[in-house]
Amino acid sequence: MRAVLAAALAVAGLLAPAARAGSQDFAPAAPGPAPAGGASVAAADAFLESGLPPRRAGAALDVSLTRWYGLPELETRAAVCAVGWRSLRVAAGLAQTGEPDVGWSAAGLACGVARPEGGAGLRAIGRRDRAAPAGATLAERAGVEVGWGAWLRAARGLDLWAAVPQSWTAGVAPPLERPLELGAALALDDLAVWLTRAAPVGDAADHAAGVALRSGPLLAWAFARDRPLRGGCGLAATTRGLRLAAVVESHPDLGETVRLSLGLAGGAR
Amino acid sequence: MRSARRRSPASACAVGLALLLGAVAARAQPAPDSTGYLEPPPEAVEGADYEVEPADTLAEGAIELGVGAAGRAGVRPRQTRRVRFSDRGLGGSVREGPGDPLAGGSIETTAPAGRVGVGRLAPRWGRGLLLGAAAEPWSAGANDRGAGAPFRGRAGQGAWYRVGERGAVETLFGRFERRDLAGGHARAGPVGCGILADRAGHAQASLSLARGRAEHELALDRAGRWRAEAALERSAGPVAWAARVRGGSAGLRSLAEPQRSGPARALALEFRDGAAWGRVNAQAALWRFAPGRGGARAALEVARGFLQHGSLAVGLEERHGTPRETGRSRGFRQGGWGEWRGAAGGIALALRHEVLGAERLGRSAVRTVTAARLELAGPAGTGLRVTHCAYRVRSGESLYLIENASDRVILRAVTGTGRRTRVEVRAPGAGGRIEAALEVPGIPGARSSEAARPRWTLDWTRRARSR
Repeated sequence: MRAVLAAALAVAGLLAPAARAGSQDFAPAAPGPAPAGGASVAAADAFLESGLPPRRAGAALDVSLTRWYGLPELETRAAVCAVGWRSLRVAAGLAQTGEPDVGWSAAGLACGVARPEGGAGLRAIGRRDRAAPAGATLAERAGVEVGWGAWLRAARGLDLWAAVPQSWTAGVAPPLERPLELGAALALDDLAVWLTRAAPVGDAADHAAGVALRSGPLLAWAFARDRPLRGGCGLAATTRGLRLAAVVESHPDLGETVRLSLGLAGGAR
Repeated sequence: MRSARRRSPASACAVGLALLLGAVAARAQPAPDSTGYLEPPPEAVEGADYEVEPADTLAEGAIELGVGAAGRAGVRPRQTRRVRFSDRGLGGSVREGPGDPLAGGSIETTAPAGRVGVGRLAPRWGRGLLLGAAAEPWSAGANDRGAGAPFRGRAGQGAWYRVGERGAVETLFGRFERRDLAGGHARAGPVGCGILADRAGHAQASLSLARGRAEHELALDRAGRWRAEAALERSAGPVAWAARVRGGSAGLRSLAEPQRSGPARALALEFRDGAAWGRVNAQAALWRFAPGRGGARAALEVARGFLQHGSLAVGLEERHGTPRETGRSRGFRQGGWGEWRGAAGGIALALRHEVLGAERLGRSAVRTVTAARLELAGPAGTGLRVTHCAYRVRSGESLYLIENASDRVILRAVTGTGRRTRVEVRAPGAGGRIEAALEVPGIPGARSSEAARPRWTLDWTRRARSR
């Protein structure tokens, strides 16, 4: 059951109040939630995860595998495809988390508009327990969350954004509560830095910061979060429309989260 | 020194002077379309929603009709109707609807040598010592009293008659604060005088002098209690200074608006600089209602617009004591805020964060608000606006979030911890304009409570020529 795994995450939350990674089923293996600005990579799943539509049009397909906190029974497998035509952006994806008897499936859909100077998107995720108790109603074994995101170019190389992944929820509560997040990303040629601030869910707000550096087909990044202080790093390589990325994030109490992603992109403009 | 109450008079003066000279802090009142918050006037019930009507004007020969409904899940909808018109010197507005706090209206027309009107009254004499005072001790003028105010306030109900250019002589009869009042005000050049009296024989008089950008008023009652206020403003290019000083008897309370009588003693300074690089607004104010009850406030706001990329505004504010004559004194508060707005390609985004704390630098936060607003302009006059706000308000504190409805501005009172999403859609329809809004609150642990139920509004407005 998703509740079991959610409970595991909640226990983790008790150990460390900020166990929130700010991401869930479709977490991208990309540097921060920036809307494909500067050195960041237009991962298809980033749109689905945050509601922030990618700046560039084109088609993309991403498959990813995430092992949360080193727990083999807490793995998320996701596949996302995204299409952008002119200013329209659409993404859809499927994900599974956990073992067949304990875990949940998720389906997501995001749509929006994006131009070089800004974009806005709407995202919806539905989740369903893979093994629900007999007699459970739909509301007891499934849930949905709807949110939005928007970004705007505030100055040359500087993007500001707001993401509200869970504006509205119904049914079973999502595994993690994701509040309003404000962010800024500054891209200087091959270097990009970003900052985010998530509104408090508990006692205080969560902050994150990161830096990304591109060198030819390689993109490397590192990031840090507070409450408790932790960090991670990632590496992505892109060649001929094929993109391979890996991210490792370390948590002082919960262990390491590893994310691998393979993507195809084409027709980007 | 966290509270004005604990301070000796000498130290209070020292702190006040430090505030005045240093302009430590500041949050100027945000615009009504801000994602931030405003505070209702002192006559409003604290902790309750407050609604006010914008004072937009209607062109000559125009008529405006409006029908609306509002409600929330599990509650019977509230219907409202309104009509406004202006034609050949006759103008007015009427609103009605069960439970509508703005129900009522006013009508005015030309009369021999002047104009006459009945209905809602919100006059302002001189500096407002008797009629039309500002809502906050640090404000130079009321934003809902007198001609030209951005909002239509409601001080009372009654009738008025003005004679002469710009109302050289004005008489009024009305009911203010459960009291029947009659009054008259005359102005000759820079000098104005007025008298206000009730049925019980209480009377108050006002003598005012307005010359250039200076305005002074003396008010007194039959018991000999008095108050006087002088306001000066000087400007040189984009820079402007304003000063206001008030003194007098603590016992003098306005017959018409006793809850807006304000402090007996006050000193306020304001500096504004509209330089090419940006805008600076600094305010500092000290006031005292009665011995042991007063306050101080200093605020600094700096805003800068960028040629292509929106605008950024930041502010600091520090408060001591209380801005209200009654109620609990909140003591020391210090905080800051920042707001960025940008628009491009039919997308407008506003981000705002503010914090107010009981200790320096916003620590021990009593109020934290983070908000984002997205506006999308569609074809044919359609539009979508989504506002999301996350807040934390400590027990005993109040927060009023601004909602811009089609015919009113609502200050929605919230408390505790929560978040709120408001989706507004506008589109042309049925010969007019249709606006719909859905508000979805999110209050942890209160999914089924009344406060957590979605709230909606639907409004149709049509403006047409009457001839």
